[in-house]
Amino acid sequence: MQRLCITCKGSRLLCGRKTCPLLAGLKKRTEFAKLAETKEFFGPSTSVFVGWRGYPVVGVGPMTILEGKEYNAELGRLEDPSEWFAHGLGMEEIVELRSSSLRAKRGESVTSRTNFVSDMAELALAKQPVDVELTFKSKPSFNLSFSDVTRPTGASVTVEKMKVTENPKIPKQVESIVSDELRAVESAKGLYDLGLDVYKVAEILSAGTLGLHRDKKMVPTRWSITATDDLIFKKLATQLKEYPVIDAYYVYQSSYMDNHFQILLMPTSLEYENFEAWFPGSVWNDASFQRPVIVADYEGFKGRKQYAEEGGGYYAARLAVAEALHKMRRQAGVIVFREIHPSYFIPLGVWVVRETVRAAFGNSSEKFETKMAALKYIDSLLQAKTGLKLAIRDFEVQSVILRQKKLTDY
Amino acid sequence: MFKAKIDSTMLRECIESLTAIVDEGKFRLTESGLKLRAVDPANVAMVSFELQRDAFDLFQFAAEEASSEAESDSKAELELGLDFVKFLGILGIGGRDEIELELDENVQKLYTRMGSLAYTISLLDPSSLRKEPKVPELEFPVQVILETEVFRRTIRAAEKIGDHIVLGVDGEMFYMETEGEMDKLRLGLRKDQLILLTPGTVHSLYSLDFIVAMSKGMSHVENITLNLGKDYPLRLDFEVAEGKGKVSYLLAPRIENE
Repeated sequence: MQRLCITCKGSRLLCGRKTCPLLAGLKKRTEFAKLAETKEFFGPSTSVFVGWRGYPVVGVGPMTILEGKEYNAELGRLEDPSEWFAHGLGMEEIVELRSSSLRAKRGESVTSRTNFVSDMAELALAKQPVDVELTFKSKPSFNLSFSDVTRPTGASVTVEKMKVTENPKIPKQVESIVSDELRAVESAKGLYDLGLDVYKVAEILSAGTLGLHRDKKMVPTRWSITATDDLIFKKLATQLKEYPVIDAYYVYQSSYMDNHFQILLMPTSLEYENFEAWFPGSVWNDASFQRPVIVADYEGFKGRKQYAEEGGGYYAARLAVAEALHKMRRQAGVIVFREIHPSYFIPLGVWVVRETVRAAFGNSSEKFETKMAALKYIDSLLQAKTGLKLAIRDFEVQSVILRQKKLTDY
Repeated sequence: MFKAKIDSTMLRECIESLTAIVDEGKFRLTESGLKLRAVDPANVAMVSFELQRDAFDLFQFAAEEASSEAESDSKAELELGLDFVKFLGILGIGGRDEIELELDENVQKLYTRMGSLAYTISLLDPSSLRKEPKVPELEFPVQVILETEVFRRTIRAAEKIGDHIVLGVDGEMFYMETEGEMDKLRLGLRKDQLILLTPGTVHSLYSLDFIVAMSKGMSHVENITLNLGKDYPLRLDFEVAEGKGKVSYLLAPRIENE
């Protein structure tokens, strides 16, 4: 896969070949070729997707896959980023996996209560993929789509009719939370506490099943992911603030697909700063730039009121950190240093951040008695990895936390 | 036993000066009045507060001796844990009437009455609140006294421009300076435009978040005193309750970029 692929997505053949090798390979392996000629589909729906263009009238519908029945065993893998991470799937494998997905959609207002929408809600609540029968309005078009927040999607098609052909299995406890007259925040936390991962919670939120009856509406998938990260964090944060402060400085680290994280925990009350250093050639920094571009966002003990400029990654990392602190029953001042190196050049969604930060806390940490020693350690790792292109100083000058003195310093 | 009456506007101004730094805290009640010292969760800003008993229209205080045997004589002081944000809300409903306060130690409740409105506040367990902080030993080479309104206006403007602000004295001139990505703002006041100034050469950088909050805590105050040093904490003092109360803020500086 080349860098060009991201702009081209198989539609413009920018690489100069006559056919897109990515899509060609894919078409051979999947049932796409067969499907491209038909206007009907029967198979499992693995999740639901709600678009954001044109809000409040958006394209909504089930996600299905173009694989034959024999791939059923692997269905779970298609939708579950924690599985992708656990198996150490690389960029190409993930793109390939996701390109066999078909997004069936139809225009609906987010407040719509049609049968199509309520069927969709059931699909979202179901524990396992549910078989559906779809009638298309036109032939599916194949166009890979990438986003910084959501997982990549493959083909899409406008759907005319949907029939759910089996009974969706909805866990009792999930059913009971959703049918309670609760605000969306409360239900989402309830679902999370049941052990549903944020991916599933976000999907349920996006399908418009949460909230007080009169307020129920669908939420574009893109927004539902960050919204879920944010509201689960806020719930955890009220607990964190009651916990004792951690006893020393700790540095955790982990890497995935050339995203490198170092996480510093400091013995202070809860505050959070997130750095992203985009190297030339990575997704959001042009290769002609000579230096890494560093962006930062911060929030204090009281939390933030405005949306973080960094976007979804800020919230995904913050949730993963809060989960770890909650497990330790401690609060801390937190700084996340994320370096994005050139071989991460296709945005695959914020799950990359969430899973990698989660994994960092599963690795062993280094403990330090002073801030200076901890920063020096981080510096040595930065410099070793980046060939002196990046030093802790580059972060320090932008840091709210590191530049603020404490009264206890006097 | 504690029972008191006080002008509710006056009390509100006092509480507002506290919420600039903390949401909750514990008052120490003694024979001579009310005291509090608290630090923000990040250990960056501190407030010290004192309200004399003669700020009250009525002030009755007695340390209870009969309540328990062991701590009978150490009880010349009562602790009162309060959610200040909630308390401000209550004072807001009550309007401008005089407010009556009565503490029930045994059930940890504070009874308040404003005109025909009675509100019972459940107190916070003092042991669940942060310990009273130690005040760092500081010496300030420079002091400036100025009109609060000038200071507050500058802060309001600075807030729109950047995240931090420099406070400094250059010879006989006091200045405040803020620089954002686009704009820059500087206020310079000569000695004769100030109430008092010790000449010197100092300046320090502070987070505007904290200074903005502090400036909201002094909206009814006429003059403020700034104590400054070079890359040093700021101590900002003013009087409340017609001179019968004192507020003092301490704020740690930010490290400047070389």
